[in-house]
Amino acid sequence: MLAVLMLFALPTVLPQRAIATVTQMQIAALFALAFNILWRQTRLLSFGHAVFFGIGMFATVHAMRAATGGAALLPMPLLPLFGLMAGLALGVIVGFFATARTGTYFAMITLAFAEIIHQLAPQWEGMFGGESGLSAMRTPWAGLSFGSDTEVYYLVLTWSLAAILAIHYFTQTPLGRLAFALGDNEQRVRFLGYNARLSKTLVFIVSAMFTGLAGGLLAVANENVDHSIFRASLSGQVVIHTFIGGAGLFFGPVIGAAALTLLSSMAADVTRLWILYQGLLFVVVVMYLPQGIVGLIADHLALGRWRQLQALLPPILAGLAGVTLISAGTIFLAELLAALAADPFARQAAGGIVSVRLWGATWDSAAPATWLPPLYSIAGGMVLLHLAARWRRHAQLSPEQQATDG
Amino acid sequence: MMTGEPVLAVREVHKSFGQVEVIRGANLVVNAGERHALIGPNGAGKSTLFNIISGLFAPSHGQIVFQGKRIDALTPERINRLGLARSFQITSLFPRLSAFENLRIAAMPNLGVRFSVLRRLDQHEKVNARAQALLDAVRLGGRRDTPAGELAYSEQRTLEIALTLASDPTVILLDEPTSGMSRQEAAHVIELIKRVAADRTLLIVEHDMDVVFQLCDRISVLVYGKVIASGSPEDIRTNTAVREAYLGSLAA
Repeated sequence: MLAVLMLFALPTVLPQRAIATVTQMQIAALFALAFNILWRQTRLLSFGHAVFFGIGMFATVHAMRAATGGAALLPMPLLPLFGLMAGLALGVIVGFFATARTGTYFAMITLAFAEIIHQLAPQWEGMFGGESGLSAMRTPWAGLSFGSDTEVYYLVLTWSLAAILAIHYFTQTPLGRLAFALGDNEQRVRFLGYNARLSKTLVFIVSAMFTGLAGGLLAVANENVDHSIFRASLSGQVVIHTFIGGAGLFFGPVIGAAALTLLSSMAADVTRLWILYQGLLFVVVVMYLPQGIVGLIADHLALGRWRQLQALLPPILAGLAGVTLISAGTIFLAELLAALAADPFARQAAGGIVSVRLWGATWDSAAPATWLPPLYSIAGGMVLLHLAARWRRHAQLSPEQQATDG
Repeated sequence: MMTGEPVLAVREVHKSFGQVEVIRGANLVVNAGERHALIGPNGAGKSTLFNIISGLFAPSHGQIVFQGKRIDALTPERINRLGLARSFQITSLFPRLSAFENLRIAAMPNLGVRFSVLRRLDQHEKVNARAQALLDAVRLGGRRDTPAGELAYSEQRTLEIALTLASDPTVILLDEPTSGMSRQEAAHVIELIKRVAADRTLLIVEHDMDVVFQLCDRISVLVYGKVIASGSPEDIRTNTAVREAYLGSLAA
């Protein structure tokens, strides 16, 4: 509740540029949440969700263009509904085929569909606008011009909150509960009298529908779209957002997508290696934090009692310090390597050496001594993390256990 | 229901997996209201025959007739909706859902609730009432909100049986309901089966002869994919072919 109020108050305190970023965060959050309907509940991993997002964008852009041409089918704020409808329609088709299989084969079918549309889209000028894509303009409605980022922000916020509530409601409905049952034990669902494939297709359609809505919101925010929206990397992006946040929790994807969208927008000015860092984070989370970052935080909040948390606080802080040292060292190392691997022209222009600006200083990537601080930092961080883990285990034991533990 | 008329018939059923013929012309008649046991040595094909009757596999040859209707080409969900429900030897639940929720999922189809998204499941009174009644009937009321995956093994086996009953079936197939249980737990489950299956037809695969003789009024013996005898417990006890093929091998 407080978070919702804060979201409504945010534009009054944020600079213009940041408002647009928060809008993008909300759209990414809805995209990830819609994707995760399939994974969290039904254990179906889609590698092609960019098609539903993209088709939602194109449908909405077409509706916006029609509105500019005088053929307003719906009031401007309702145009994202075209994205929802397009996602639903494409969800029926892809869902029908994909749900014939489960597991890896399901993922392959969704990937294949996405790639087919990605390849075909540039050929179909009228629908997808060819190489240059399609542009549209937001039209005024009921005294609102939708000309400023703030107005777009409130439009997207309203839709996102409504969609999050609707998706949460869905998890409580008979089909939503059945979706969990399907994820747990599809065979038993069949022997209880359900057509399992139809059930899975319906869940798929719900996911595709909300994904299309998220695309529709981005169309309104960006006012243009091109066929590259169907790229596999966007389908991968939503998987990464979801799993880093925590795929097992309702709000995991929301937090994951919002946080990573914010970080990526902040990192854009600072480094060209953001994708690498995001990938490393993904690997670490998948290996060590199956419940994601939100899961990790939720576990600690569930410790509940302040006294218990207090006892654990020092090792937790030590662990965080270790993680920070490893991260800093890794970033330092990666930036130095990237500088060394920079193209020859850049190196020549710099007189044979390429320096790296990091932590407020300039470092010569060709000098061996420069490589020592990041390596020390990583090694120190690992030792600290290891010690913190042991410390934490010890602190978690009750006094009696500690006594018998010797 | 009239006792005595055949409700389920297996006619000359064969089933091969590749070169191996597991079921070799099995015949079996289950009459309405019976508590019928299917026994036989390991590898006789009892579970395979269960899987064929319940629709997991189609037979290679032969017919399965349920209430006068052939069901051997139907999917498991169609067979279930006709009123034939089964349990599994290896517990087959929804581990993330609570005991109550497992039963709600099981009770929904028969009450006409499947894919609704307009109301929350909590608001579907009939489904909730049915699930609660089942939970109480199998005495799991105290474990209502425990995830099925966290229930004790014997509680999971009990829930397994309750799921089978949820669609209010005419015929129940139970595949080794007491497997892996202690004597005491098994006795509880037998008492439970007697109580909840009172007005239904029961076909049960069971290894424990004590259970079979306590629970069932008719026994069929499956050996190497064929039913070699079918009759009352007394008939089976004294049947020489059965003694040779089955009880004899146990004695030896």
